[in-house]
Amino acid sequence: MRLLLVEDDEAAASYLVKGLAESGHVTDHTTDGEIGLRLARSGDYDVLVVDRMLPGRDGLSLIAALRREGVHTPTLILSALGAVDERVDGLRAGSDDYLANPFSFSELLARLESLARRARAELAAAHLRVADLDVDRVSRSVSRAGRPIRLQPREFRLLEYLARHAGQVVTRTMLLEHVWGYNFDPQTNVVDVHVSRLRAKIDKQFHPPLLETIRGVGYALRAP
Amino acid sequence: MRPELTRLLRTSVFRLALGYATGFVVVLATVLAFAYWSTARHADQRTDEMLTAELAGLRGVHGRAGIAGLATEIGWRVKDYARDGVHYLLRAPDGRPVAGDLPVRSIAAVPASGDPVVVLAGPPDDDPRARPSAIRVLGTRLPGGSLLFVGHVLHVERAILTHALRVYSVTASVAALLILAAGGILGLRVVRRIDTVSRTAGRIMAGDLGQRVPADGAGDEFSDLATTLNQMLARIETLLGRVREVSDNVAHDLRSPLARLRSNLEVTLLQPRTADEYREAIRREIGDSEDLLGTFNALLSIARAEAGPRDAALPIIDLRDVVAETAEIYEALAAEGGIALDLDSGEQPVAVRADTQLLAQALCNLLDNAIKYTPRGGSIKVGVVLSANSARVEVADSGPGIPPEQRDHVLERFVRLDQARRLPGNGLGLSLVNAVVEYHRARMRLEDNEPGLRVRIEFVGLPLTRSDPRLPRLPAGAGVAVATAGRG
Repeated sequence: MRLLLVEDDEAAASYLVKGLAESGHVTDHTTDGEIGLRLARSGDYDVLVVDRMLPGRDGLSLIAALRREGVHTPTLILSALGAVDERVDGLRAGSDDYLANPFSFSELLARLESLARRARAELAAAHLRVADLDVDRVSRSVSRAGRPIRLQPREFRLLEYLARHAGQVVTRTMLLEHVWGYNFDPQTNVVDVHVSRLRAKIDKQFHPPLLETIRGVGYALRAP
Repeated sequence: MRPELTRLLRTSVFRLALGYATGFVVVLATVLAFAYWSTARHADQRTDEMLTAELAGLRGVHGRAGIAGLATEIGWRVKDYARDGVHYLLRAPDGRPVAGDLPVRSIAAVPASGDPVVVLAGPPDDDPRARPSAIRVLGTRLPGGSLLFVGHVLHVERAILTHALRVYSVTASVAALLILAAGGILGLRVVRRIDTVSRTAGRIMAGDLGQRVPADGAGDEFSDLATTLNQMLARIETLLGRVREVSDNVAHDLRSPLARLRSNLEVTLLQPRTADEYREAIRREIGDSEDLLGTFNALLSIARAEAGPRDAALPIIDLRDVVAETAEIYEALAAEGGIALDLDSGEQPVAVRADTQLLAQALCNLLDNAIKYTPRGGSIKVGVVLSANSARVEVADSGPGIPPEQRDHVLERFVRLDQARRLPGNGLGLSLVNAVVEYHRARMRLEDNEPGLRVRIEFVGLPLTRSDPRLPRLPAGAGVAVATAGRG
């Protein structure tokens, strides 16, 4: 991926750039909102990572300006402000995702990859397929190797989200946000329990296993 | 003494008294001056009328009995009226006194205007002790050239007036002084009582939060103020104590895991290891730091909930939806632990004003606790109960419960009962629930479930009817949807 990072905290930026480089991504970095806007206009980036509070021009206004000009590069806002309202403001300004500090690097990486992929393939497909697993989004039915699998509605939404991001790492926070609509982390990791239930239904009697646990990060649904 | 006096002069009470006294004196002086002037004028008018009447009478006598008859008449009148202060003088055309007792030298001629004149007369010859007195004299020229004067001694009226004036002035001065003195005394009292408050405030600023304004039992507005101040101070002391306790606890509870993380890393570095071992160690410490961040996040959530809603209008939601969703999430977890989780949320929609995220977070914490403390084979019951003007969520487990004397205690941050020490957790779960309950102005009770713990959260508020336009999303149930949280 080619990324633009607009972040005025040099210390945070340097570890992000290093981490992204080591994950195989090329990152341009600027500390100034105006310069960030000029760079972003070129449109050569897969994802923009924008801090909310910046010198020159703040993150929300930068994104709003880009959207007005018809630049639809996927954008993720980084912010120390994590309250629900702040999140809503960010998304309303035209950002595609919002990550509040403190976040883990793997969380950021998973979200960036998800955003880049969303831009590449719009997700209107009626069928999602991962190896021999078929998710029918119209009839909301699932089958693997031609054998129907019965899922609870919530299990279906979980699988649908994983299948939409097939091949990518999806974090627990992303699942909580998109499958349950929760912006907080429950004390016990309830997601694990639901994923293992889903796994029992889609993987147990089949081979090879498709739902993989990425230790310390989350899950990935992929053909081996 | 000098600064004390300066301060007194600067007090509002003394200034007010000074103002009053000055105003009093000015008004009284004006009133007295006017009274003196009008009384004097009135007295002069009456004197003049009397003198005019006397002159007219005597002119009549002159017309009837001639100058000799007039002289005789004057002789009689002098005898009759001298004691009343009326005096006469008849002068021949050549200026020679013919009759009467007015001192001759003073009255040379009839004033051309015919107006009365005031003359000073020496003591009468027959009374050497008498003082000279002011006499108001009216004169007329008689046919034939003789001059006739009638005078009236003024000292009686004037003396009364002067005396009254003196009495009034003295009284007014005394009253003014009394007002000033009262102002001074009151001012001093106010200064002293305010000084007491200031001294207390000073000692509090110096760091002694336990100081209180002494109660003087006067029962007046100053006592009320002192009571209010003391209540405020007590509240501030409690809150500060709580904040101090929280930060102490935060420091204490976060220091240990941080120290553990650090020593684990140190131990890892002690000798060379394989890459896999390093990887494993780093993973473990990432897990530990995540627990720490989780604690910070929980503290922030509590702080946010305690700060209260920024928008007064919370959306109206169906309480059953939130409860059903969280129950569904935890049902899987409960099943893993061999615990039965039952949900009973009734048939009717239960409308409350609430922040879904916060409410869900609180419910998650309650269910989390319930599952943590309920032994395998136990049960958890989650219910939504609708009554006349309230709505209630209940989470009841069959675990060990919380002893009654500990029920308030467990709502505080970082409090973990002994039985919980072996289980994972940060002691913030119920604190967050409590903060969320207060955010919604709902009430929470921890009860004995015999055995186990039953947590009841009650939302109270105004009933909403089914036709209420604020309830667009709720299905038309059989009955009336009720109860908004707090601020409905």
